Amino acid sequence: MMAFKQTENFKSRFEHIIIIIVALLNTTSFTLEAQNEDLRQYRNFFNNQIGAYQYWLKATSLNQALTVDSTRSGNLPDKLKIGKEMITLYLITPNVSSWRALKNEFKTKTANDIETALMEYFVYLMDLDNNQSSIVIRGKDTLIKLFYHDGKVQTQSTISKGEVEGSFSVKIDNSKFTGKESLKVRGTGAVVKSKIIKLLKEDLSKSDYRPAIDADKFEIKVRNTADDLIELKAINLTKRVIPGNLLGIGYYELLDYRIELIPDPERRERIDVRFKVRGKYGSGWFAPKNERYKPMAPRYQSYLNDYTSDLKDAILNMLQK
Amino acid sequence: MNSLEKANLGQRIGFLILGFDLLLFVLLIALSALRMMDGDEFNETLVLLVPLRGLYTGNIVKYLIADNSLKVTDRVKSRFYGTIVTLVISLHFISVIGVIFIFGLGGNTDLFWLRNGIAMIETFFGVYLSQVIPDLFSISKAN
Repeated sequence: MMAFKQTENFKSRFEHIIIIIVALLNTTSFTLEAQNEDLRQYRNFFNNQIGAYQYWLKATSLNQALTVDSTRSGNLPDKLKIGKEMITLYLITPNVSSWRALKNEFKTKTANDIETALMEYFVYLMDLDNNQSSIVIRGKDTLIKLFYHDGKVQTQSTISKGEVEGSFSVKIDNSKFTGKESLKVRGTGAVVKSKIIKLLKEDLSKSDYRPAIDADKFEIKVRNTADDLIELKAINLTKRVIPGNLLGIGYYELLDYRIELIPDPERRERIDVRFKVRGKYGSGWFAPKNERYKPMAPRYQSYLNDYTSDLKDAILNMLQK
Repeated sequence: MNSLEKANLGQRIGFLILGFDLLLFVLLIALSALRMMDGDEFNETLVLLVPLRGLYTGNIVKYLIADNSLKVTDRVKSRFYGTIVTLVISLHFISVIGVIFIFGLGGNTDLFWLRNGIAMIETFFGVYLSQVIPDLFSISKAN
Protein backbone atom coordinates (compact mmCIF):
# COMPACT_ATOMS: atom_id res chain seq x y z
CA MET A 1 0.00 0.00 0.00
CA MET A 2 2.78 2.28 1.09
CA ALA A 3 4.70 1.51 -2.05
CA PHE A 4 1.61 2.21 -4.17
CA LYS A 5 1.10 5.57 -2.45
CA GLN A 6 4.71 6.49 -3.04
CA THR A 7 4.41 5.61 -6.71
CA GLU A 8 1.22 7.67 -6.86
CA ASN A 9 3.01 10.52 -5.18
CA PHE A 10 5.93 10.24 -7.53
CA LYS A 11 3.53 10.14 -10.45
CA SER A 12 1.72 13.28 -9.42
CA ARG A 13 5.03 15.02 -8.73
CA PHE A 14 6.30 13.94 -12.10
CA GLU A 15 3.14 15.32 -13.69
CA HIS A 16 3.67 18.56 -11.87
CA ILE A 17 7.20 18.84 -13.09
CA ILE A 18 6.12 18.14 -16.65
CA ILE A 19 3.42 20.79 -16.41
CA ILE A 20 5.93 23.28 -15.03
CA ILE A 21 8.42 22.49 -17.78
CA VAL A 22 5.77 22.85 -20.46
CA ALA A 23 4.61 26.08 -18.89
CA LEU A 24 8.16 27.37 -18.75
CA LEU A 25 8.78 26.41 -22.34
CA ASN A 26 5.61 28.21 -23.30
CA THR A 27 6.63 31.35 -21.48
CA THR A 28 10.08 31.22 -23.00
CA SER A 29 8.72 30.86 -26.47
CA PHE A 30 6.24 33.63 -25.79
CA THR A 31 9.01 35.86 -24.50
CA LEU A 32 11.20 35.09 -27.46
CA GLU A 33 8.32 35.80 -29.74
CA ALA A 34 7.55 38.98 -27.84
CA GLN A 35 11.13 40.13 -28.22
CA ASN A 36 10.93 39.87 -31.97
CA GLU A 37 7.59 41.57 -32.18
CA ASP A 38 7.19 45.21 -32.98
CA LEU A 39 5.75 46.70 -29.81
CA ARG A 40 4.23 49.57 -31.73
CA GLN A 41 1.38 47.38 -32.95
CA TYR A 42 0.02 47.19 -29.38
CA ARG A 43 -0.01 50.95 -29.02
CA ASN A 44 -3.67 51.10 -28.02
CA PHE A 45 -3.29 48.47 -25.32
CA PHE A 46 -0.28 50.25 -23.79
CA ASN A 47 -1.96 53.62 -23.86
CA ASN A 48 -5.04 52.19 -22.15
CA GLN A 49 -2.93 50.77 -19.36
CA ILE A 50 -1.54 54.18 -18.38
CA GLY A 51 -4.75 55.05 -16.59
CA ALA A 52 -4.31 51.95 -14.44
CA TYR A 53 -0.74 52.97 -13.64
CA GLN A 54 -1.87 56.44 -12.60
CA TYR A 55 -4.58 54.84 -10.45
CA TRP A 56 -1.99 52.62 -8.80
CA LEU A 57 0.20 55.65 -8.03
CA LYS A 58 -2.82 57.24 -6.39
CA ALA A 59 -3.78 54.11 -4.46
CA THR A 60 -0.26 53.74 -3.07
CA SER A 61 -0.11 57.48 -2.23
CA LEU A 62 2.93 57.83 -4.44
CA ASN A 63 1.06 60.48 -6.38
CA GLN A 64 1.93 63.07 -3.75
CA ALA A 65 5.25 63.52 -5.53
CA LEU A 66 4.94 61.38 -8.62
CA THR A 67 2.44 61.46 -11.46
CA VAL A 68 2.24 60.33 -15.03
CA ASP A 69 3.56 63.19 -17.11
CA SER A 70 0.45 64.60 -18.72
CA THR A 71 2.14 67.88 -19.60
CA ARG A 72 3.82 66.25 -22.56
CA SER A 73 1.71 68.04 -25.17
CA GLY A 74 -1.40 66.93 -23.31
CA ASN A 75 -2.38 63.94 -25.42
CA LEU A 76 -2.23 60.36 -24.37
CA PRO A 77 0.49 58.81 -26.54
CA ASP A 78 3.14 61.24 -25.35
CA LYS A 79 3.12 59.93 -21.80
CA LEU A 80 4.59 56.81 -23.29
CA LYS A 81 7.28 56.54 -25.88
CA ILE A 82 6.65 53.33 -27.75
CA GLY A 83 9.57 52.14 -29.81
CA LYS A 84 10.02 48.94 -31.72
CA GLU A 85 11.69 47.14 -28.84
CA MET A 86 11.39 49.54 -25.95
CA ILE A 87 8.69 51.39 -24.09
CA THR A 88 9.49 54.39 -21.96
CA LEU A 89 7.04 55.79 -19.46
CA TYR A 90 7.39 59.43 -18.48
CA LEU A 91 6.65 60.39 -14.91
CA ILE A 92 6.95 63.76 -13.29
CA THR A 93 8.15 64.83 -9.86
CA PRO A 94 8.34 68.43 -8.55
CA ASN A 95 12.05 68.40 -7.78
CA VAL A 96 14.88 66.22 -6.61
CA SER A 97 14.25 66.77 -2.89
CA SER A 98 10.60 65.72 -3.07
CA TRP A 99 11.67 62.64 -5.03
CA ARG A 100 14.22 61.76 -2.37
CA ALA A 101 11.67 62.30 0.42
CA LEU A 102 9.20 60.03 -1.36
CA LYS A 103 11.90 57.44 -1.89
CA ASN A 104 12.85 57.40 1.80
CA GLU A 105 9.23 57.28 2.90
CA PHE A 106 8.55 54.34 0.63
CA LYS A 107 11.63 52.55 1.92
CA THR A 108 10.63 52.95 5.58
CA LYS A 109 7.02 51.94 4.92
CA THR A 110 7.59 48.93 2.71
CA ALA A 111 11.29 48.07 3.06
CA ASN A 112 11.44 48.02 -0.73
CA ASP A 113 13.08 50.29 -3.23
CA ILE A 114 10.69 52.61 -4.95
CA GLU A 115 12.57 52.19 -8.23
CA THR A 116 12.01 48.43 -8.22
CA ALA A 117 8.34 48.81 -7.31
CA LEU A 118 7.75 51.34 -10.09
CA MET A 119 9.48 49.20 -12.69
CA GLU A 120 7.90 45.91 -11.61
CA TYR A 121 4.38 47.27 -11.73
CA PHE A 122 5.03 48.90 -15.09
CA VAL A 123 6.37 45.65 -16.55
CA TYR A 124 3.45 43.69 -15.07
CA LEU A 125 0.81 46.11 -16.28
CA MET A 126 2.16 46.40 -19.79
CA ASP A 127 2.90 42.69 -20.03
CA LEU A 128 6.47 43.38 -21.10
CA ASP A 129 9.86 41.82 -20.82
CA ASN A 130 12.22 43.46 -18.34
CA ASN A 131 14.53 44.63 -21.11
CA GLN A 132 11.73 46.24 -23.02
CA SER A 133 10.85 48.77 -20.38
CA SER A 134 12.26 51.92 -18.90
CA ILE A 135 10.91 54.83 -16.90
CA VAL A 136 12.06 58.41 -17.05
CA ILE A 137 11.22 60.67 -14.13
CA ARG A 138 11.56 64.35 -14.82
CA GLY A 139 11.76 67.06 -12.23
CA LYS A 140 12.56 70.75 -12.31
CA ASP A 141 16.17 70.07 -11.44
CA THR A 142 16.59 66.39 -12.11
CA LEU A 143 16.23 63.59 -14.60
CA ILE A 144 16.10 60.00 -13.35
CA LYS A 145 16.17 57.01 -15.63
CA LEU A 146 15.15 53.54 -14.45
CA PHE A 147 15.93 50.44 -16.47
CA TYR A 148 16.73 46.77 -16.05
CA HIS A 149 20.26 45.50 -16.31
CA ASP A 150 21.22 41.95 -15.40
CA GLY A 151 17.79 41.40 -13.92
CA LYS A 152 18.14 44.27 -11.48
CA VAL A 153 16.61 47.71 -11.62
CA GLN A 154 19.33 50.29 -12.25
CA THR A 155 19.09 54.00 -11.71
CA GLN A 156 20.79 56.77 -13.57
CA SER A 157 20.10 60.17 -12.16
CA THR A 158 21.08 63.58 -13.32
CA ILE A 159 20.95 66.71 -11.28
CA SER A 160 21.13 69.63 -13.62
CA LYS A 161 24.30 71.22 -12.41
CA GLY A 162 26.66 69.96 -15.01
CA GLU A 163 27.21 66.51 -13.62
CA VAL A 164 25.91 63.00 -14.15
CA GLU A 165 25.72 60.39 -11.43
CA GLY A 166 24.87 56.75 -11.78
CA SER A 167 25.77 53.23 -10.88
CA PHE A 168 25.87 49.86 -12.53
CA SER A 169 26.99 46.38 -11.72
CA VAL A 170 29.50 44.47 -13.87
CA LYS A 171 30.20 40.78 -14.04
CA ILE A 172 33.87 40.76 -14.82
CA ASP A 173 35.14 38.44 -17.48
CA ASN A 174 38.21 36.81 -15.95
CA SER A 175 39.68 35.91 -19.31
CA LYS A 176 40.27 39.61 -19.96
CA PHE A 177 42.84 39.74 -17.17
CA THR A 178 45.97 37.74 -17.66
CA GLY A 179 49.47 37.55 -16.19
CA LYS A 180 50.35 40.39 -13.85
CA GLU A 181 46.90 41.87 -14.23
CA SER A 182 45.24 38.69 -12.99
CA LEU A 183 42.51 39.20 -10.45
CA LYS A 184 44.03 36.60 -8.18
CA VAL A 185 47.33 38.46 -8.03
CA ARG A 186 46.10 41.96 -7.41
CA GLY A 187 42.48 41.77 -6.25
CA THR A 188 39.46 43.08 -8.12
CA GLY A 189 39.56 46.75 -7.07
CA ALA A 190 43.15 47.43 -8.09
CA VAL A 191 42.87 45.66 -11.42
CA VAL A 192 39.62 47.28 -12.44
CA LYS A 193 40.92 50.65 -11.29
CA SER A 194 44.01 50.50 -13.47
CA LYS A 195 41.96 49.28 -16.43
CA ILE A 196 39.47 52.13 -16.15
CA ILE A 197 42.23 54.72 -15.73
CA LYS A 198 43.96 53.34 -18.80
CA LEU A 199 40.70 53.46 -20.77
CA LEU A 200 40.03 57.07 -19.77
CA LYS A 201 43.59 58.18 -20.46
CA GLU A 202 43.67 56.54 -23.87
CA ASP A 203 40.34 58.01 -24.82
CA LEU A 204 41.01 61.53 -23.57
CA SER A 205 44.50 61.69 -25.05
CA LYS A 206 43.25 61.12 -28.61
CA SER A 207 44.49 63.84 -30.94
CA ASP A 208 40.89 64.74 -31.87
CA TYR A 209 40.36 66.12 -28.41
CA ARG A 210 43.55 68.17 -28.25
CA PRO A 211 42.93 71.87 -28.75
CA ALA A 212 44.65 73.37 -31.80
CA ILE A 213 45.96 76.25 -29.71
CA ASP A 214 47.52 75.79 -26.30
CA ALA A 215 47.76 72.04 -26.88
CA ASP A 216 50.55 71.88 -24.28
CA LYS A 217 48.12 73.01 -21.58
CA PHE A 218 46.18 69.78 -21.97
CA GLU A 219 46.63 67.69 -18.85
CA ILE A 220 45.27 64.59 -17.15
CA LYS A 221 45.63 64.47 -13.39
CA VAL A 222 45.04 61.24 -11.50
CA ARG A 223 44.77 61.63 -7.76
CA ASN A 224 46.42 59.01 -5.60
CA THR A 225 43.60 57.22 -3.88
CA ALA A 226 42.69 53.84 -2.45
CA ASP A 227 42.15 50.85 -4.73
CA ASP A 228 38.41 51.30 -4.79
CA LEU A 229 38.35 54.94 -5.86
CA ILE A 230 39.32 56.75 -9.04
CA GLU A 231 39.64 60.51 -9.08
CA LEU A 232 40.72 61.81 -12.43
CA LYS A 233 40.64 65.26 -13.94
CA ALA A 234 41.18 66.18 -17.58
CA ILE A 235 41.92 69.83 -18.23
CA ASN A 236 41.90 71.88 -21.44
CA LEU A 237 40.68 69.33 -23.91
CA THR A 238 38.17 70.12 -26.63
CA LYS A 239 35.17 68.58 -28.37
CA ARG A 240 35.10 65.48 -26.15
CA VAL A 241 31.63 66.22 -24.79
CA ILE A 242 30.36 69.26 -26.68
CA PRO A 243 30.83 68.85 -30.42
CA GLY A 244 32.38 71.57 -32.53
CA ASN A 245 30.28 74.17 -34.34
CA LEU A 246 29.84 74.48 -38.11
CA LEU A 247 33.45 75.58 -38.42
CA GLY A 248 34.57 72.57 -36.42
CA ILE A 249 35.67 74.72 -33.49
CA GLY A 250 34.85 73.62 -29.96
CA TYR A 251 35.05 75.04 -26.48
CA TYR A 252 37.75 74.13 -24.01
CA GLU A 253 36.50 71.43 -21.65
CA LEU A 254 37.30 70.32 -18.16
CA LEU A 255 36.11 66.89 -17.05
CA ASP A 256 36.17 65.61 -13.52
CA TYR A 257 35.59 61.93 -12.78
CA ARG A 258 34.91 60.21 -9.50
CA ILE A 259 34.41 56.47 -9.83
CA GLU A 260 33.91 54.17 -6.87
CA LEU A 261 34.46 50.46 -7.29
CA ILE A 262 32.66 48.27 -4.82
CA PRO A 263 33.50 44.57 -5.16
CA ASP A 264 30.78 42.14 -4.22
CA PRO A 265 32.12 40.41 -1.08
CA GLU A 266 30.48 37.09 -1.96
CA ARG A 267 31.23 36.84 -5.64
CA ARG A 268 34.62 38.12 -6.54
CA GLU A 269 33.94 38.54 -10.21
CA ARG A 270 31.10 41.02 -9.68
CA ILE A 271 31.73 44.66 -8.98
CA ASP A 272 29.47 47.67 -8.47
CA VAL A 273 30.62 50.82 -10.18
CA ARG A 274 29.36 54.17 -8.95
CA PHE A 275 30.33 57.12 -11.03
CA LYS A 276 30.03 60.86 -11.07
CA VAL A 277 31.18 62.88 -14.05
CA ARG A 278 31.31 66.64 -13.91
CA GLY A 279 31.80 68.75 -16.98
CA LYS A 280 32.74 72.37 -17.45
CA TYR A 281 33.41 74.39 -20.57
CA GLY A 282 35.17 77.61 -21.28
CA SER A 283 35.55 79.94 -24.23
CA GLY A 284 38.62 81.68 -25.55
CA TRP A 285 41.27 81.53 -28.25
CA PHE A 286 43.80 80.46 -25.65
CA ALA A 287 42.98 78.05 -22.84
CA PRO A 288 40.95 79.93 -20.24
CA LYS A 289 41.89 80.22 -16.60
CA ASN A 290 39.88 78.15 -14.14
CA GLU A 291 37.47 80.95 -13.21
CA ARG A 292 36.27 81.21 -16.79
CA TYR A 293 35.19 77.58 -16.90
CA LYS A 294 31.49 77.17 -16.22
CA PRO A 295 29.29 74.10 -15.65
CA MET A 296 27.85 72.43 -18.74
CA ALA A 297 24.35 72.57 -17.22
CA PRO A 298 21.83 73.47 -18.35
CA ARG A 299 22.91 74.45 -21.87
CA TYR A 300 25.03 71.38 -22.62
CA GLN A 301 23.69 68.89 -20.05
CA SER A 302 22.32 66.56 -22.71
CA TYR A 303 25.78 66.19 -24.29
CA LEU A 304 27.21 65.29 -20.90
CA ASN A 305 24.44 62.71 -20.40
CA ASP A 306 25.23 61.15 -23.76
CA TYR A 307 28.95 61.12 -23.04
CA THR A 308 28.42 59.44 -19.68
CA SER A 309 26.25 56.70 -21.10
CA ASP A 310 28.89 56.06 -23.79
CA LEU A 311 31.54 55.90 -21.10
CA LYS A 312 29.45 53.42 -19.16
CA ASP A 313 29.11 51.21 -22.22
CA ALA A 314 32.85 51.40 -22.84
CA ILE A 315 33.60 50.30 -19.27
CA LEU A 316 31.08 47.47 -19.53
CA ASN A 317 32.57 46.34 -22.84
CA MET A 318 36.04 46.36 -21.39
CA LEU A 319 35.20 44.32 -18.31
CA GLN A 320 32.71 41.80 -19.55
CA LYS A 321 32.07 39.69 -22.60
CA MET B 1 34.54 126.69 -42.66
CA ASN B 2 30.96 127.41 -43.52
CA SER B 3 27.83 125.73 -42.30
CA LEU B 4 27.73 123.35 -45.23
CA GLU B 5 31.10 121.97 -44.17
CA LYS B 6 29.68 121.42 -40.71
CA ALA B 7 27.07 119.18 -42.28
CA ASN B 8 29.83 117.33 -44.10
CA LEU B 9 31.74 116.85 -40.86
CA GLY B 10 28.63 115.45 -39.20
CA GLN B 11 28.06 113.11 -42.10
CA ARG B 12 31.70 111.99 -42.14
CA ILE B 13 31.73 111.26 -38.42
CA GLY B 14 28.31 109.68 -38.69
CA PHE B 15 29.55 107.19 -41.27
CA LEU B 16 32.74 106.62 -39.26
CA ILE B 17 30.64 105.67 -36.23
CA LEU B 18 28.33 103.44 -38.24
CA GLY B 19 31.44 101.76 -39.69
CA PHE B 20 32.80 101.08 -36.21
CA ASP B 21 29.36 99.88 -35.18
CA LEU B 22 29.37 97.40 -38.03
CA LEU B 23 32.88 96.31 -37.12
CA LEU B 24 31.74 95.70 -33.53
CA PHE B 25 28.85 93.61 -34.83
CA VAL B 26 31.13 91.56 -37.07
CA LEU B 27 33.61 91.13 -34.21
CA LEU B 28 30.91 89.77 -31.89
CA ILE B 29 29.70 87.32 -34.52
CA ALA B 30 33.26 86.22 -35.27
CA LEU B 31 34.17 85.74 -31.60
CA SER B 32 31.03 83.72 -31.13
CA ALA B 33 31.68 81.58 -34.22
CA LEU B 34 35.28 80.94 -33.19
CA ARG B 35 34.09 79.91 -29.71
CA MET B 36 36.10 82.75 -28.21
CA MET B 37 32.89 83.74 -26.50
CA ASP B 38 30.00 81.52 -25.45
CA GLY B 39 26.28 82.30 -25.61
CA ASP B 40 26.08 83.82 -22.12
CA GLU B 41 29.14 85.97 -22.64
CA PHE B 42 27.73 87.15 -25.97
CA ASN B 43 24.50 88.24 -24.29
CA GLU B 44 26.36 89.91 -21.46
CA THR B 45 28.51 91.86 -23.93
CA LEU B 46 25.43 93.05 -25.79
CA VAL B 47 24.03 94.38 -22.51
CA LEU B 48 27.30 96.15 -21.77
CA LEU B 49 27.19 97.81 -25.17
CA VAL B 50 23.72 99.30 -24.67
CA PRO B 51 24.96 102.66 -23.23
CA LEU B 52 27.50 103.02 -26.02
CA ARG B 53 24.98 102.42 -28.74
CA GLY B 54 22.34 104.50 -26.98
CA LEU B 55 24.73 107.41 -27.01
CA TYR B 56 25.64 107.22 -30.68
CA THR B 57 23.28 105.37 -32.85
CA GLY B 58 19.93 107.03 -32.17
CA ASN B 59 21.24 110.55 -32.77
CA ILE B 60 23.24 109.58 -35.79
CA VAL B 61 20.67 107.59 -37.66
CA LYS B 62 18.19 110.41 -37.14
CA TYR B 63 20.77 112.83 -38.47
CA LEU B 64 21.78 110.79 -41.48
CA ILE B 65 18.26 110.16 -42.68
CA ALA B 66 17.18 113.76 -42.15
CA ASP B 67 16.80 116.15 -45.00
CA ASN B 68 20.09 117.87 -45.85
CA SER B 69 18.67 121.36 -45.48
CA LEU B 70 17.79 120.64 -41.87
CA LYS B 71 21.36 119.72 -40.95
CA VAL B 72 22.62 123.23 -41.38
CA THR B 73 23.05 125.06 -38.11
CA ASP B 74 24.36 128.49 -37.37
CA ARG B 75 27.45 127.48 -35.39
CA VAL B 76 30.74 127.15 -37.19
CA LYS B 77 33.31 124.60 -36.07
CA SER B 78 37.05 124.74 -36.56
CA ARG B 79 39.11 122.11 -38.34
CA PHE B 80 40.69 121.33 -34.97
CA TYR B 81 37.27 120.46 -33.60
CA GLY B 82 36.73 118.00 -36.45
CA THR B 83 40.09 116.30 -35.90
CA ILE B 84 39.66 115.99 -32.16
CA VAL B 85 36.14 114.59 -32.41
CA THR B 86 37.20 112.05 -35.05
CA LEU B 87 40.17 111.03 -32.93
CA VAL B 88 38.24 110.66 -29.68
CA ILE B 89 35.40 108.71 -31.26
CA SER B 90 37.87 106.38 -33.01
CA LEU B 91 39.78 105.91 -29.77
CA HIS B 92 36.54 105.14 -27.94
CA PHE B 93 35.51 102.47 -30.39
CA ILE B 94 38.99 101.02 -30.78
CA SER B 95 39.34 100.60 -27.01
CA VAL B 96 35.93 98.92 -26.69
CA ILE B 97 36.72 96.62 -29.62
CA GLY B 98 40.17 95.97 -28.13
CA VAL B 99 38.80 95.04 -24.71
CA ILE B 100 36.24 92.67 -26.25
CA PHE B 101 38.88 91.13 -28.49
CA ILE B 102 41.35 90.61 -25.62
CA PHE B 103 38.51 89.01 -23.64
CA GLY B 104 37.92 86.70 -26.60
CA LEU B 105 41.54 85.64 -26.60
CA GLY B 106 40.93 84.00 -23.22
CA GLY B 107 43.93 83.33 -21.04
CA ASN B 108 43.63 85.39 -17.89
CA THR B 109 40.45 87.25 -18.70
CA ASP B 110 36.95 86.57 -17.47
CA LEU B 111 33.55 88.27 -17.52
CA PHE B 112 34.42 90.38 -14.49
CA TRP B 113 37.43 91.71 -16.34
CA LEU B 114 35.30 92.51 -19.41
CA ARG B 115 32.70 94.36 -17.33
CA ASN B 116 35.37 96.41 -15.61
CA GLY B 117 37.12 97.19 -18.87
CA ILE B 118 34.02 98.44 -20.64
CA ALA B 119 32.81 100.35 -17.56
CA MET B 120 36.17 102.12 -17.38
CA ILE B 121 36.07 103.13 -21.02
CA GLU B 122 32.48 104.33 -20.79
CA THR B 123 33.30 106.47 -17.76
CA PHE B 124 36.37 107.91 -19.37
CA PHE B 125 34.85 108.82 -22.74
CA GLY B 126 31.20 109.06 -21.72
CA VAL B 127 30.97 112.63 -20.41
CA TYR B 128 32.87 114.13 -23.30
CA LEU B 129 30.94 112.30 -25.97
CA SER B 130 27.55 112.86 -24.41
CA GLN B 131 28.19 116.59 -24.94
CA VAL B 132 29.72 116.38 -28.41
CA ILE B 133 27.39 113.95 -30.12
CA PRO B 134 24.06 115.74 -29.59
CA ASP B 135 25.75 119.00 -30.55
CA LEU B 136 27.27 117.62 -33.73
CA PHE B 137 24.22 115.75 -34.83
CA SER B 138 21.56 118.25 -33.96
CA ILE B 139 18.87 118.83 -36.54
CA SER B 140 17.11 122.12 -36.78
CA LYS B 141 13.34 121.97 -36.50
CA ALA B 142 11.65 122.07 -39.88
CA ASN B 143 10.03 125.35 -40.70
